[in-house]
Amino acid sequence: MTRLSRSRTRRAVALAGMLAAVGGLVGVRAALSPQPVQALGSPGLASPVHGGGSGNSGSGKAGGSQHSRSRKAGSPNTRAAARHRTVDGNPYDVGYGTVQVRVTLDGRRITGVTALQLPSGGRSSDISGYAAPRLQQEALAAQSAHIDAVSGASYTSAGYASSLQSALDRAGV
Amino acid sequence: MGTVVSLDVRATERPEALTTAAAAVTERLVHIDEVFSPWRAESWVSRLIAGRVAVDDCPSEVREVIELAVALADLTDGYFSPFWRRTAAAPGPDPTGLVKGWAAQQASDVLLAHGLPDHVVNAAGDLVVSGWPDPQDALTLWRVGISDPTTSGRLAGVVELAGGPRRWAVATSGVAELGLHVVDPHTRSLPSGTASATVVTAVDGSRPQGGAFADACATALVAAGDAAGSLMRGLSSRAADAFLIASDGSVDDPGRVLHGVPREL
Amino acid sequence: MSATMIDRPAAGLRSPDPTGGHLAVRAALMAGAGAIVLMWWLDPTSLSGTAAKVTEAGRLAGLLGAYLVLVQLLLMSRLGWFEQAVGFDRLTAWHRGLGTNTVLLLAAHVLLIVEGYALSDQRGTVPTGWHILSTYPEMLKATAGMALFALVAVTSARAARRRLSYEAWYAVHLSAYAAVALAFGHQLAAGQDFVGHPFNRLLWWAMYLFVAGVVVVERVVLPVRAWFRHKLLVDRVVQESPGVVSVWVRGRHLNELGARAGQFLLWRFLAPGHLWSAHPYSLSAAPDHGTLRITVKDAGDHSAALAHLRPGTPVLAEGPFGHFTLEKRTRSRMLFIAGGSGIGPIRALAEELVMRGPRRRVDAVLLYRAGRASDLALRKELDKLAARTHLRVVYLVGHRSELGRDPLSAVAIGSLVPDVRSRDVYVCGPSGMTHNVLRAMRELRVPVRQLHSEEFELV
Repeated sequence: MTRLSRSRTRRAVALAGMLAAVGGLVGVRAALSPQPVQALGSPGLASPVHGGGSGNSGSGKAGGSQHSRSRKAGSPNTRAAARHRTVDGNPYDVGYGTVQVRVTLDGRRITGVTALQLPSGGRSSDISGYAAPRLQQEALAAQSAHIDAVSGASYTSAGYASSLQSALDRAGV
Repeated sequence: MGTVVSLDVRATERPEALTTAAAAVTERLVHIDEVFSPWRAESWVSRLIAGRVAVDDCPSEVREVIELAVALADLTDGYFSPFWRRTAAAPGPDPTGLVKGWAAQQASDVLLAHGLPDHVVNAAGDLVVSGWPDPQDALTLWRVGISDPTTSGRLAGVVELAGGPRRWAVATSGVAELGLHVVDPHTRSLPSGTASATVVTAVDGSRPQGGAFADACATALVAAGDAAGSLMRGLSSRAADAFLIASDGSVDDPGRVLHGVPREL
Repeated sequence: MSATMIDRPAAGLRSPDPTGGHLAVRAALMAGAGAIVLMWWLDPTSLSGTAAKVTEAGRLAGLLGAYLVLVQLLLMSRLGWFEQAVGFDRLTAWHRGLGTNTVLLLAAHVLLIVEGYALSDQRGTVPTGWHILSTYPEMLKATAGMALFALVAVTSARAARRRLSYEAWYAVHLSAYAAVALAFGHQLAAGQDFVGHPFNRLLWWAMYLFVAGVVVVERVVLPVRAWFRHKLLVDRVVQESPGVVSVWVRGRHLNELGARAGQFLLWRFLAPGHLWSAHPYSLSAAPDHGTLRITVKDAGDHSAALAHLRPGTPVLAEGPFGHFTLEKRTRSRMLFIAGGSGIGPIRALAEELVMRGPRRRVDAVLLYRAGRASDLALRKELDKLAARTHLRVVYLVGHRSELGRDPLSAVAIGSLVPDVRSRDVYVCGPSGMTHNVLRAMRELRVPVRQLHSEEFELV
């Protein structure tokens, strides 16, 4: 083998190695990442997450998902200290893609909601375009005006809501 | 049907009751979807719309809903109508315009049956509210925010409802969010003027199907276009409150139900 | 002597670097890559389904590709401690070796992302590509950047460089800086790992700012400042023999440059036709107070043009670079082997040895290999040096075909210099010759740490 072809093969091997490394890392991470819950027909988070019971149920086959949130009325706010944290919801498979959201909290206040994954077209730049700001604003609205519910807003993404809910419940909000 | 149903249950001393209740609600909604979804080709409603079955062939709950739809069509001068899209290919009745509200109430019924009286069921904007928001404080009011149809992410205002054993149903219909759903059955075209309409009614002995009622009336008000004002005043004579938000943001609220809390979000 | 495009010898025969600094640098660069992988790994998006996996692979490829591009810039930035730890020649080798793979990794990034999006949108690949290009932020610039990178890669291929003039190739290569700037925007605007991750954004900015700072300081600020300090100007241009020209450069405080014989600098003559390129030329005389000399053989456009430099032309010099110095010697006795253009640094080394060592103790042999007697440049100077000291100069003239044997084979050298094993051997010349001589030295069992060779390339 001439020197030239030797360095060429070495380069080819290096490139193949790099691509294999990328593929391998993706494979390992995929194997380790939590499988999305089937939004349709899933039991959701059935177990109480925080003392006092915030129980939830997941989706029904109404092509949508449902979740429940209970608040322990009158319980002292033990987490009163404003603590900035980020909670990631479970990934939910809504049939045409996976939905997963991330909620940032300051103590018990939601300060931001971003979608980590949205089905078809949900990515960081698409998200910044339309979906996330809307859903974020709805979440913020609910808490800032001490609103119990919102009428008229239509939740267009089933999995989003359920994942938001799962994140909220993990946070014990 | 692409609808998200959300349950908000207040204060349980028995968390395990929640789990069972939620599972039961899920089951009920799954069933409703199987039976009523017009997007499932083999659901009863789809077959009904297509004319492949007659109303009398359908299960009792379908019949009830259809009867409800027909009665409400009458009530709303035809602006809500199960025959809103009657064509040769779809000759049968389509109750879809009120199924969401009806389903929300069904879910609420399940929760009540499980001993959870303080809750909100929200089916993509059609709510049924029950009990007290804060069981420790009987004076707290339920605050229901109403989406501003002209600006996404904003609230147009808040509707306050008293807590108590009586349930409430709140339904909002809007051109902007429901898009092409709402069609004026008389003219078969999109109405102009009203951007969203909200109906608030009690769910009690005098109106046992308040959820369906609210949903149908809200749909009718949006479909009514210019006639919405008079239709709305007619509704208020029937112990239901309603208000309209026009596409320019102005609010027609004869019952003074909506409290302005426009908040920049 | 002139710097020509020399193929690098096989790594095993490169002059060994006992300090191992390059291993530390290599480890640091790999650690950087590891940090990037970690940042990607910590993204909590779950990977389920082919579309997600393909997209994530594309993201990882993009992150690593961008990192490698910055590494490439850093390798060529003349960062001081990089040069000391690794050495100019090795840095150049790394830069060259890494280049193709960097661009291919970036290409993989583009393809994987487009395909991943296409799969999740259930749309064709080409429409998706168009959609990304037309709607996502900063994508046009990123595409332009990618095109420039591809151009740089293509023009740096061996086949292309043969056809391209150095200046043309260099101009294209410089556009890599523009490509980096163009592509930066889309990384932060559309990168999943950066949208909404302030910490990652900070790290990414810091990385880019660091490299930008290093490049600006090392390649612009320091050389300019050095010029004002040293005020290097062309003193005179001397025709040594047909086709060989020496350029004398005078300046102030030259001792501060710390140049040693055997080293080279990157010379940029501020004259029309020379302004846009810097070339490495070795010193051909021991750096004396006040003057530096390079001796260049006419081997191409730029080297031929040196003969026309006018005295008084300002010179920017970066460096000095190279480990081919007497400082690396392990013995007191030397063997210098020069071939063709390599005589320049060898002559400088010989002169420095003579100047700095006590006369009686200097014991060095200089073998000068040339095809014809007329190719022997600087012959008179070598003879003069030999006359003054115990420097034995042997001219090995004649093509191998005429001589019937290789005067630089192990046998030949062994008979010329029987005690070669106890000498430090300095070899400089065309790559083929250097390669052969080093092999011969191994055959003669000269310890590796006594072998020194220098190669340089136009990068």
